[in-house]
Amino acid sequence: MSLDTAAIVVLEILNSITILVLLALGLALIFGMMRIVNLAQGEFFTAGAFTVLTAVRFAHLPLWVGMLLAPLVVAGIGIAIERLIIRRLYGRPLDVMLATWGVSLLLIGLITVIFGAVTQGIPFALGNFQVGRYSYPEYRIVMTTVAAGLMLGVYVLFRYTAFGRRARATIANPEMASAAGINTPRMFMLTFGLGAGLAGAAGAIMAPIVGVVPTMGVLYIARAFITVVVGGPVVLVGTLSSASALGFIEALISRFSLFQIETAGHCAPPPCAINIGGSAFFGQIALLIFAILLLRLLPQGISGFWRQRR
Amino acid sequence: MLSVAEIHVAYGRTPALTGPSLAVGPGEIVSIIGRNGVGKTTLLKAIIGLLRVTSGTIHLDGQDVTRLPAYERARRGLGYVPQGRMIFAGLTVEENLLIGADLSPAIGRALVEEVLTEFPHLRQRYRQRGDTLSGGEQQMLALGRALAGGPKVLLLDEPSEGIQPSIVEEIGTRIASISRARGLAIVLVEQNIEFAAALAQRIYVMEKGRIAREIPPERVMDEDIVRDYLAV
Ligand SMILES: Nc1ncnc2c1ncn2[C@@H]1O[C@H](COP(=O)(O)OP(=O)(O)O)[C@@H](O)[C@H]1O
Ligand SMILES: [Mg+2]
Repeated sequence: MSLDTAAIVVLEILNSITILVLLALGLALIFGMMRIVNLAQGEFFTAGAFTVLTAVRFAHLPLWVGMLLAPLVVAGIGIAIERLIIRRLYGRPLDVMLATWGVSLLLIGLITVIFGAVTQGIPFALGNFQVGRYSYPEYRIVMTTVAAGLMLGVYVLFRYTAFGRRARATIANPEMASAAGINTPRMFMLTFGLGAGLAGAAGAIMAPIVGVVPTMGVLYIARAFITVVVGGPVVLVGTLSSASALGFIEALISRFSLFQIETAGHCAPPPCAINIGGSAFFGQIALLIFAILLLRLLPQGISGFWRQRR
Repeated sequence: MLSVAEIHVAYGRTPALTGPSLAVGPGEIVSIIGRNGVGKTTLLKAIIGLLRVTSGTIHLDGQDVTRLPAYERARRGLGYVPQGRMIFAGLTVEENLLIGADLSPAIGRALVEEVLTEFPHLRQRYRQRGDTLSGGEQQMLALGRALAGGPKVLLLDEPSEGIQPSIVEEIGTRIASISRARGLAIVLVEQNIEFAAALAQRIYVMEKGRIAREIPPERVMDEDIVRDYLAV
């Protein structure tokens, strides 16, 4: 393999990891900190993308302003949903899951009514840069930078601030946290809002490279869940390690063809064959298979495995 | 300071407290003893606000706090040191103390420093995870966490439970001196009668969800009392 091919493969792996981190971070936060399976997370992602669309198309704001607005708007939506619905269901995980599923359907319906069921694009100005014989989109580097920034932000927030300390205390023991003076309902509300905001940020940053359509969340939610489940209970370590492992496999199989299967029919030149590997489709299948294997080996997820060993 | 009047608490349909009353003044240590399962922990949880009372009142500093959530009571000066310590797992000793100190932002740091002076063990373990400490050290940390909030009333649930005697003695000495120095009111739930008698000015015996009688601390070790109210 030549040097430029190697470089491009590394970049593609980085891009796969980036996308998984963006998709999974908010979900992992809500699941890890609150033990809530939020089935509306995909629609928070969608809402982020539509916030950007609205800002750019209808309010004629610069793209970056729309992208900064998106996490705030979606965090607001998340907080409203927590206050109106989820708050009433704490301690009943199944009901919470059903409720968030309902919210998910409701949001899809609402967004469709407002914006219509068409796919819209968001134009952006960045181009490509040259890696040897290949050209590579600059925007992907921006995405990786944003994903890294979000992870770092979450880390600093939870590790070094009073909010983070209280949030971790609340998760460790909600009763004791309340008895120690922490307004625990407020902590849950803010944590949920933060998880929603992160999904909004992901939807915003990915909006220019995907079709913006009311059902777009559905496309991504599965990969987000797979990443969270493989990551296990420790939010950041889990998300990063899981996204790295899965993104690595996904990018490799997407680029390289593993083998060919001959098929019937007439081809020129013969024989007819399908490449297994070498496309995004097989990349996602490989991701799924690899995730299943990992979970057989490490049922607690990657971070759960490391935590047990210590 | 703290006054509890005929509170009732139930777990589902099973009554757990049937009207105990209690009053503690500044600088006073009142102890509650009684067999396992009579409702001592339930009483403290009801006072701090982790359990809802169905009737009766709880006043703190003259204010009715009966309907306030636990965190509001903590902010008004109730400190809680639960049975089993309940150190926040994953948080360092420092962070556990800061959770307490968050209650009084202006003087929190100074209160933490005071706690570290009272319990030098904690200073040695300052950056260590709180849940990796020994039982005795965790008890000091749980006490420190409550004290760092600058409480007016401290609720202690079996602080001597499962701790080696030399540490129990150290903790007892600290509790007494802090109560005196700060004018802190303390409700001390105990099964260790000797420990309770050494610290408390008044001792109450609890039986089946209510306070059955008061006994003078100097008589608490008398054989008939131990047999009647405490022996299994
Ligand atoms: N969470 C609970 N649910 C149901 N019953 C409980 C619960 N906690 C305690 N009880 C019951 O309430 C009674 C009082 O318990 P507790 O206050 O823990 O007693 P003590 O602290 O004096 O040992 C006991 O009969 C106990 O079984
Ligand atoms: Mg008890």
